[in-house]
Amino acid sequence: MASLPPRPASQRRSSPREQESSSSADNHQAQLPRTDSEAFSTTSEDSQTLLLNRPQSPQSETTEQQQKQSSSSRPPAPASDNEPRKCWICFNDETEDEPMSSPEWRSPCPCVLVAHEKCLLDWIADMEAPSSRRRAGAPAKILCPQCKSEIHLTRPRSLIVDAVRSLERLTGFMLVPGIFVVLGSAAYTTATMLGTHAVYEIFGMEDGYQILQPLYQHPEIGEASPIVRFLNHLRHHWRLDLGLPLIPSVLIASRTTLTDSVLPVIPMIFFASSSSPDEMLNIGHWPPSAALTIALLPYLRGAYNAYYERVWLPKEQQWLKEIQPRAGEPQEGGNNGIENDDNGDGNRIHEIFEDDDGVVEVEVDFDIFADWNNGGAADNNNAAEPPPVPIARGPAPPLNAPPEDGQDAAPAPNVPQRRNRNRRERNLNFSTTSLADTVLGALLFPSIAAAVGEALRVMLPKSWVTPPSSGKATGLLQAKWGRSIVGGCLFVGVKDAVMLYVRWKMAQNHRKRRVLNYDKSKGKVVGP
Amino acid sequence: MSSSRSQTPTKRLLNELQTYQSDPNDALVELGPVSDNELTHWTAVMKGVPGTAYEGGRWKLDIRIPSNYPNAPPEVKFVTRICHPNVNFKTGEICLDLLKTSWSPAYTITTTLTSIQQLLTSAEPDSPLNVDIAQLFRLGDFVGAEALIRYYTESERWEGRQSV
Repeated sequence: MASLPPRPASQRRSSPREQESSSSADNHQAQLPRTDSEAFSTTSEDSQTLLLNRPQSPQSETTEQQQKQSSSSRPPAPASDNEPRKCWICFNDETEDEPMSSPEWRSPCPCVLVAHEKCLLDWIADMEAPSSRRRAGAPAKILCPQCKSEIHLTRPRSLIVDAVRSLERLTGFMLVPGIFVVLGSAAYTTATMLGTHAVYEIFGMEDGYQILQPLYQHPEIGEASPIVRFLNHLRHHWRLDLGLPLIPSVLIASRTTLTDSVLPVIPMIFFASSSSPDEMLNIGHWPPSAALTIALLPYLRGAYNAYYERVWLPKEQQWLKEIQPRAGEPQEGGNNGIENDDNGDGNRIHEIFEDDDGVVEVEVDFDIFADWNNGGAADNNNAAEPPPVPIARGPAPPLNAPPEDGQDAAPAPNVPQRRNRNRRERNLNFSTTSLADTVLGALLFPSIAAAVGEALRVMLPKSWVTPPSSGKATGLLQAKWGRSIVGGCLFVGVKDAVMLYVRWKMAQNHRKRRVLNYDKSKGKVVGP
Repeated sequence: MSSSRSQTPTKRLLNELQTYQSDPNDALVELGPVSDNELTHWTAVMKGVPGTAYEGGRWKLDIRIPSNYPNAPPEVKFVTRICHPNVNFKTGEICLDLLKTSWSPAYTITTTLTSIQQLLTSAEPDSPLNVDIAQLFRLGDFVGAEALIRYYTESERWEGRQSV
């Protein structure tokens, strides 16, 4: 190995190991070139030529001996020697030089290698060529292949060329960060837009406009430069700049369990940074201010989730288990029970479901299988389509903006809920479907909440939903935002209730399934 | 410069050929251009190193010399199939840095082939082109690897004309 350039190249192309392995490579290289050049110019000198034919004479000592020999026998300035100089690149020696052109000879390094200048330049140009396979990183130093000392060359420098080249290199470096900046600002803009939309949905046009007013202010004319304007804007409205894009982000995050630990803290930040503590923290006052209400939503979410988990989740899983194939058998029950209890993972149940459906059932009992597919079509569809585990999510709001409660309830009714994950499930399932489901549901949630709020306004007695003429509101539902928030919470609760009912009903019906007999005398299927 | 580019390979290759003929390489059975009028396409027959699993083997290699040789390395491929972690069993492609990044004009065709012969005895199973044999190496099954190599060395042996 030692004498072999040790690194198969295709994998590690840039040669970072060249340095560390240079000792072995040196030996190797030192051995090879010298051998050849000498073999050439000194065909009569047998002592040198032997080397070529002994590839296995590997020890570096040999090489070094040879090196010493050769360097002692052949001083670096071969011109003084009587044997002709020989170019290590083109392998021609002095005698072959065309007398007319009389090429320049160069000895750029301490070792014995000499070469035509034009060969060297050609080689260096090749090394520096941008398309060269060597080019893996920065333009490497040009090293003598034998002694590894740097080969210096002087070239006329042009300020413009240098500047442009370094600029080119800089652009190369900036490419990836630039892409990230562009993508990031696109995401930021989108998020801000969604946040604005959410604010309008929840608060209605008037209040929404008041909240977002700073965004629509005309720039003051007195401010001269755009930078000053930008900084001023940043100073005055950083809450909006930060809060608006946070709205959709938190909406989405609160549909997962990732932020369970973070969400309750966010309102704290809000309270701490609240600009007008009197108004915001007036807890005793009823109805509470919009900001306070929204800030409290994460806790509501947490409480609701905890309640759901404790009270309903076990039952729900029980029901889900019942509609599994061969439910009730110890083995099956055990397996699924573990799965369910450990993960409560609807998706996994879903998969088990399919597996059993396809494999186990077919093997065991065709009647059940048929029943499953035909008679129990409704069951089957229900079980496969909607999520085995409907999840209840408590509300979770973003900063000082609109509400978002019951995130998981959020998906629009017509968004098929294929996979919901239990809130305890830590390993999130990032299948495309569930991701789209989560994101879409979260983004639609403000609209849903607002729609339910509108429905409340229409349905509830007028005195509940219109502020008294005296001015001060006396109830939560008297403002648009209050109705929206209550509507959102209501939606979550009702949705969960419906899903639980479906689970329960499916389990009930599952127990009552019967396979119909085929009555041969009547020629049709008859009831029991 | 353009003249040097077009001139260098031919002249240098003739030089190398002459050297080889006056002073053959122990690793090789034969080496030379495929035909007299095409100096940039060589062929070689390599010997296995005695005392290794490749002992007694003969492999034919195909050597293509690019027009900017010696600034660019020659393209060397095994024509005879060889069982080696760093050689593709089907295409004969060789994974050796000398043939890619660490090439320098100071190498010649014969020294390159010498290096390839040395590669036979110092495989690098961590960057394999032949996953099967590399896996044997990595698992430490040297007996199995050697048996496999010996089998292929014997069964695939190049039996063309032999000048030695």
